[in-house]
Amino acid sequence: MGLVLLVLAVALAAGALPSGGFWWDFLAALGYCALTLIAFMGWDSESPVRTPRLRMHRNLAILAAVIATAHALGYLAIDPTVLEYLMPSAPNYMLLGVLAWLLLIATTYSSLPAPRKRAYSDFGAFRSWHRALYLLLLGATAWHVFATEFSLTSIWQVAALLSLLIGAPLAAYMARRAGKAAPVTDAPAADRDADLHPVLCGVAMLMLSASFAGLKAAACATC
Amino acid sequence: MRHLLILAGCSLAALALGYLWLEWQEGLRAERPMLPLTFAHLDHRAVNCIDCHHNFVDDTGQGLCFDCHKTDPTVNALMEEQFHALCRDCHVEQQRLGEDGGPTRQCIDCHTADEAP
Repeated sequence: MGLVLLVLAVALAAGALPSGGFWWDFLAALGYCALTLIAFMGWDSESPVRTPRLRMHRNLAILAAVIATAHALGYLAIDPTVLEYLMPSAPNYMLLGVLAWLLLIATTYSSLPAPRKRAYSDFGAFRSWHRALYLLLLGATAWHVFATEFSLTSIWQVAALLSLLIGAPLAAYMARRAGKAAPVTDAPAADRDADLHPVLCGVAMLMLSASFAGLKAAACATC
Repeated sequence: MRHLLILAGCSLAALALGYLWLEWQEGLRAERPMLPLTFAHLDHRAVNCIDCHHNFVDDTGQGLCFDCHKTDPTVNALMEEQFHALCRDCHVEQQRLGEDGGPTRQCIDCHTADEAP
């Protein structure tokens, strides 16, 4: 959640004006939340089958899919002209957003127990395809966000965001690998992570997104 | 070795598909009908005419913007990109300077039918 907060702070940084109105910025913030979740999950795949982290990994994927869907449908609801961005003649950075959403849905759905057993012959095949789909998804999402340039208008913002999205989850992953992520309470760290409730996470992200939009609107006197 | 060959084959296929996609897309962009557009000329009196009407000085054409930008095959596929860069980026810059710069984000603020030419 801290990572989401930092990502939104970078997107809100100087140079990110103007505001597109509360709902426009709120939906943009939801997109950043989905991007953060997608980037985070790449470093959160440590032997998920053998640990309770599987539940958290799956819950966060479903949350990312829900948020990404709300991001896209929300824009269509507040501004039907956005439909033009779904046509084949639309700019490729927007079409890559559509591709990323499709890949997110496909990757998430095909990893649920029943579809996974139907689609893959064994766990090795699932893991290979899941990783390949994830890398395509991550690439398409990153391209969509960075090329759209609605909030990221300076090279410093792009550099800071890339550092956060790559560095923070990588640092957490390395710390976990090295056994440095010692549990604060008596409960094992993996169990506490697994209890991270997706609905609470979703609500927190909605509140952060609303704060992002409110701050942006307040900072732009002429919007 | 087998994996490398598969990777090379997939990369070549992706490049070829990408090229075909871009070619096809360029044709689509040139042929698609224009979105409705509103433009308040009077609100732009503070802007130097040639900032937009480049043809006043470079003799590249006459008439309305879209007479060339929609029909000239050398530029019509770039119309969205060029006009967003001209209009939206200027509005964004004005708002960044703390001035009222017009619509910047919501498509429908500009892409709505004008009442009169």
